[in-house]
Amino acid sequence: MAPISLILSFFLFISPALSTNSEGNALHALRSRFKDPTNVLQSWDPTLVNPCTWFHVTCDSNNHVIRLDLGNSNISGTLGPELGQLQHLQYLELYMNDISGKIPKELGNLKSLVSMDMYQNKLEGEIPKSFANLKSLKFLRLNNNKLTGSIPRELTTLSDLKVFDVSNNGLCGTIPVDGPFRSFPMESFENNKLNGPELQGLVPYDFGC
Amino acid sequence: MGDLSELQYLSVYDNNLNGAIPFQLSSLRKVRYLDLGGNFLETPDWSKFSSMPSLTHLGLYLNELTLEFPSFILTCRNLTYLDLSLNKLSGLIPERLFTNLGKLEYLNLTENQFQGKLSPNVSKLSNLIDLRLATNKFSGPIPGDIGSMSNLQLVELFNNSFTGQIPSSLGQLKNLQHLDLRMNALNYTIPPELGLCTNLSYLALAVNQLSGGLPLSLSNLSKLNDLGLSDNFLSGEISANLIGNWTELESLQIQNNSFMGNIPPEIGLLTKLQYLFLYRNNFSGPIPSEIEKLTSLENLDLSGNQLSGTIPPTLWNLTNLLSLQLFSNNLSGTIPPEIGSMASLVAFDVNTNQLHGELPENISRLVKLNKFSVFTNNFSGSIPGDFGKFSPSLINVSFSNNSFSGELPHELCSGFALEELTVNGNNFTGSLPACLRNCSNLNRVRFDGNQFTGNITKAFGVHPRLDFIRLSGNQFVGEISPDWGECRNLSNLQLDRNRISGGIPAELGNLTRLGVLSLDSNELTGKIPTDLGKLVKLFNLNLSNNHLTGEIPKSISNLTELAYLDLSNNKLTGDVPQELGRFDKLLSLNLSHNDLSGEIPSNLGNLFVLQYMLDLSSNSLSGTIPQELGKLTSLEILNLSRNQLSGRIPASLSSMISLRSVDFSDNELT
Repeated sequence: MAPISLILSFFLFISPALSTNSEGNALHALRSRFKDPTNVLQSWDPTLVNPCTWFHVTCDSNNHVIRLDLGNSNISGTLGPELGQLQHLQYLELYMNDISGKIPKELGNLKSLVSMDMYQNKLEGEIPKSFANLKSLKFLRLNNNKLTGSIPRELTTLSDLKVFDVSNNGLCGTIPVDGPFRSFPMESFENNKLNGPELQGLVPYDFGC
Repeated sequence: MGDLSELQYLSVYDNNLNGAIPFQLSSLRKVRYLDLGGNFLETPDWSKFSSMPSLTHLGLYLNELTLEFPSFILTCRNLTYLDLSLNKLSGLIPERLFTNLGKLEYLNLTENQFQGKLSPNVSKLSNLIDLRLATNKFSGPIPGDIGSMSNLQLVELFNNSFTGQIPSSLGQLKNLQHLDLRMNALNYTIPPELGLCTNLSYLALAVNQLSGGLPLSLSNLSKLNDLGLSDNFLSGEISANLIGNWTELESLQIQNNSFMGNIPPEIGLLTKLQYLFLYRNNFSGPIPSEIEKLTSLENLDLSGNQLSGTIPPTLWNLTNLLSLQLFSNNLSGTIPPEIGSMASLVAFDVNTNQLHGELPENISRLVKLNKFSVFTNNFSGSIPGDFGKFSPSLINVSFSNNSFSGELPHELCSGFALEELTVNGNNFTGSLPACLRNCSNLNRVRFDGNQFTGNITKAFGVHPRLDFIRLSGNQFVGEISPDWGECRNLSNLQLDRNRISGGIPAELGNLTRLGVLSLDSNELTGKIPTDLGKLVKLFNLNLSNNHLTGEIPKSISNLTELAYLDLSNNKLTGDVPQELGRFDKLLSLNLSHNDLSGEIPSNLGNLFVLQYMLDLSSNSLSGTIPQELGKLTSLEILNLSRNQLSGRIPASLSSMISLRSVDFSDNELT
């Protein structure tokens, strides 16, 4: 039988030209980690020059992503480190989904972030210490997940933090009392394994954690 | 059949024979050549097959054989040619294949489901010329013993899961012409010993995890026709010495790697090149003008690098070019009239560079053009008036993000084949080409951010594939045609910020895929059609800044996906529907600057993810502020000003811990 000659066309990976836009690529990588049964991400076309016309993505006038609105979208899967590349992101809204796995520490790179809402998912592992770098953060809602470990004391440096809700997790250790933590109501911490507010004046001792 | 005891040659290939292969065939003691390929034969009980000592040529390719490697073949010790490709055989390759069939010259197991490692005993097939194991599930390393099979001319191992290094012993294969290791998990570097295989004409290593630079010894491969190294982690420069001898090369593909440095001018020596793909690397410096010597070149893709300088004038001499991709670089300068001499050009993409000047008239001469993309550059002036008139195959045109002015060419879509037309972010004026109406393949259209003044009422027709259209930010006049309701694939319809008048046609309610509907900042009149309640996928509805009258239809409450609802700055009357409280995905609600009356429904307290704003200001709302609003714990902006609200501000509003801006002014609160 004549050998099937592999003509040049076999080689040709003439795939549609993926954009070189780094924010689009970061979101595209995020999409590949997600299962999206209701096709919320159907408009996320990586061949477009930027992600600014993708549904549920909002950009500023310089075509930088400032909002990601995927709350209550039946999404499962995990988060990845590439999300941390969205340097202009202000609102990260992933609440009320089935997202599992750990919170990537790279989310601490989101230096423009004002609001992070990942409540009501299945996130596990610890709250990254790197969140202390989120200097613009006002709203952090991680309640109703499976987070463990302690509340990083470093978060007390976030002077703009107005709302902090970690209720309904498996957190342990003590509750910080400095900086913004002075004003958070006790409901923000309920249903965890926390040992109450840290006792000032004593050597910090994370017992039971 | 088994009684034909003198039969030596039996060929029944390419028929429709089915059922199990009859074992009686094996009693044909004198058969030397047996070809049953290209049928629908199934796996028999191989144990009933007797040995066929005369058999030298056995073809069972392209059948329905399943299960393990047929054991009876292992007894046919005179086999020189064995083809089992394109079946569904699985399991491991038996060692006895290598120890018993020492006379094999051709072994083809391509496209089955064989697995496990390739045994080092493969080298016992010392007469083998052709080794074809592609598209299986082989794993583990490629055994170095392969280097001792000195008769090998062709080795195909592509599309498996081979790991580890490419064996340096391959350098011993002086007769090797064709080596295809694509689509595996090979890592480490390309062994310099491959440069000793001086008879190599086809070398394919693409889609692996190879790293490091290209060994200089590869320059000795002067017979190379095809070199494919794409989709690896290769790095380093492409030196003049490396490529200078590759004068027979027809295809050079090294895209999707980390190569750097300049493209050597010696590329001009590769005069037989038809395909040159260097895209998505880190090449810098200029495109060498010697590229004009590649007179056979059909496909040139240098996109996604950091190439700088101007496009060499000599490049336009490549009159055989079909596809020219230079996008995403730092190229400067202009596109000269000489582009018109590229008569065969089908695809032209120079987007995202720093090119400037006007587009030359001669682009109208490119009669074969499918794709023309110049977006995100500094181009200016008008598009040549005849562009498209002689190019009926135009499918994809993009002028976006430049400083173009003037009108769009009238016969841009003369062939009605357009699928994608994006011209946003320029200074275009005038009206839209009349041919657009009849472009039934239109999928994506952007005219936003220009100064178009045309009448859109009949500018578009029925476009069954249209998914995305944005005409925002122009001075379009006319009305919204009911025909938009026939564009059933629409997911994004944005006509905002124009001078469109008339009513919102109820037919828009047929667009059940619609996610975004922006009609804001126009001169629309009449009522909000009840049928808009059929747009169940709608998440962004903006009708603000128009002259809409009547009530907010109750059917709006069916839009349960709504995240953004803006009806502000109209003349809407009636109540704030309490059904709005059902929107459990609503992030922002703006009904301000209308003539709404009645009370603020307490159900609005159920909009528990409401975050960006709740603006009911500048209406005629009365009654008290519902204490249920205190449940809106994510809300940042609350504006109830300029109404006739009475009573006290409820204490529960202190639970609205996310509020950063509150306005209750100009009411009758106590």
